[in-house]
Amino acid sequence: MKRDPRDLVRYSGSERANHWVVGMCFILLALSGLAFFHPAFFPLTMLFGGGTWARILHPFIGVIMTAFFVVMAMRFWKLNVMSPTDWEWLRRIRELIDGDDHNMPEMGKYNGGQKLLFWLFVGCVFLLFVSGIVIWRAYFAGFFPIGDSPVLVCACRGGGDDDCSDNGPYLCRDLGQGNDPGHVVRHGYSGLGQAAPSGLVQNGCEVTGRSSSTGATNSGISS
Amino acid sequence: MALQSLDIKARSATTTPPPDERQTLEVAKLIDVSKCIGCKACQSACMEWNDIRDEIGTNTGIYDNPRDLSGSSWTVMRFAEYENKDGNLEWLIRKDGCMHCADPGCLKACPAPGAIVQYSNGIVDFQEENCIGCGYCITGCPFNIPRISKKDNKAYKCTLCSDRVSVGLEPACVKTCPTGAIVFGSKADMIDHAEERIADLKERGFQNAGLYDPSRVGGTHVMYVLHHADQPELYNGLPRNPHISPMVSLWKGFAKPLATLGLAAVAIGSLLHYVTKGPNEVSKETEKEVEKELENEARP
Repeated sequence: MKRDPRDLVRYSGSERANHWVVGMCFILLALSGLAFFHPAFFPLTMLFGGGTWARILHPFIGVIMTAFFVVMAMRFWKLNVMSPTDWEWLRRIRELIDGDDHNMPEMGKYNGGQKLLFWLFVGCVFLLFVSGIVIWRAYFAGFFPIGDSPVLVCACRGGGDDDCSDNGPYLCRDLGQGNDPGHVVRHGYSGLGQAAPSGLVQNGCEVTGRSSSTGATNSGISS
Repeated sequence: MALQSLDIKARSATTTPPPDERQTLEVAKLIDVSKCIGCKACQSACMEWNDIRDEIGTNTGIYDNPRDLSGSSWTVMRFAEYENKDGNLEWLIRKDGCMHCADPGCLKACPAPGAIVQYSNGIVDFQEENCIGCGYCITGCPFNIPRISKKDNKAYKCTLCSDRVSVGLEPACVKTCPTGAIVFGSKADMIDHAEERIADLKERGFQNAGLYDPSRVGGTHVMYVLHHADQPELYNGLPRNPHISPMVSLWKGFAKPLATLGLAAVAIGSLLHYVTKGPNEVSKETEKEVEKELENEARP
């Protein structure tokens, strides 16, 4: 939108649309996410049709935001590489906040603060996306069964220590009890807000555990 | 149920006191593992009283059936084969289900107001009509008990038959247990009863017999008498020292007020900056003036 012939086109139409999608998704995510974060904000779920609807919609909006953010980041990352002038700008940030921009170094399209904010967003959106997937129980509890996947079971087992019998089927959440190699992995998983889906850890543990540590007992029973 | 709404000690995602004027007797279920024969009558009674039927599963080569707790299996017998020091087999059978912690991790983690309540008698109950199905209770539970139903995406678990208890009946599993391995009463009575049982077990050679009433969750309202109380892990991974994950405590304890304060501080700070310093704007007129000056300078 160039109304004055002297104006510069700063952003194209598709860049603006991209930014607006991210912005709107962010606001919706903040409103629904805050509702789950603190009871004081729970009434915000009413904007989404109640608690259950907020729970259902929040992760989908998150996926949309992440997808559009990735496109936006790919468009703008080159413009956000920090230069020495940007650091100089940041050193004088107090003057700017004070309302005096006369001594601020000359900037290109973005100033140092905007650039740092860009990288902060990149990091935060990544963290939000990953943690969101992990706590998305409706779909990913089934697809990320920590004890069921052979790769993860092997990772759990560490170097061939397959005695699971003492730790049994449970997710052990005790940081201080890290006496089996599975603990770290399992705890990390639960720490991100997810427990192992029911039964799956058990299967992995039981099957391996029985063949080794309780093997003698088993044969005793069957004979 | 109706009057139980007056006996609420704690309510999920609620920052004001719940209606807990009435103090009811603290109850407990005691499961004497040494008396259990693994008949699964408790499972059947639970299904029958609560009108829940799980899907027919598959045989996985062990006695555990159903294989795990689910939205419609609120208690399961877990069978463990243990070879003791003398080389003899011990079949350790534990009825698994909600422990009804005095300090319930599920309730702490729950974001939906009133979806989880703790009655003053100690029972921790899910109110599914308030449940939003997020599964945070699963994260909060130190015993890995709650399950999200595949049918309605609500969380379910043992209610300790709160409906029966509220009208003076014992839980269905207790009523049906043919060996008396499950008993129910006031928590104090159950501890006394457990002590008698433990003394008896010790006489019979189980030197490490003891009561499982883990203190880091404030004690539980479902307790076990174990013949090997020194090794609770033997009983299909009964945690030795169960407690709410420190991540959950951080997330639901410290982080909540801190982040809320942070949000408020940013909002108030921005407003104050706007009021005191104002926005840093260049008007169109100034812009034009500067442009003219620049043009004049550029002209030779």
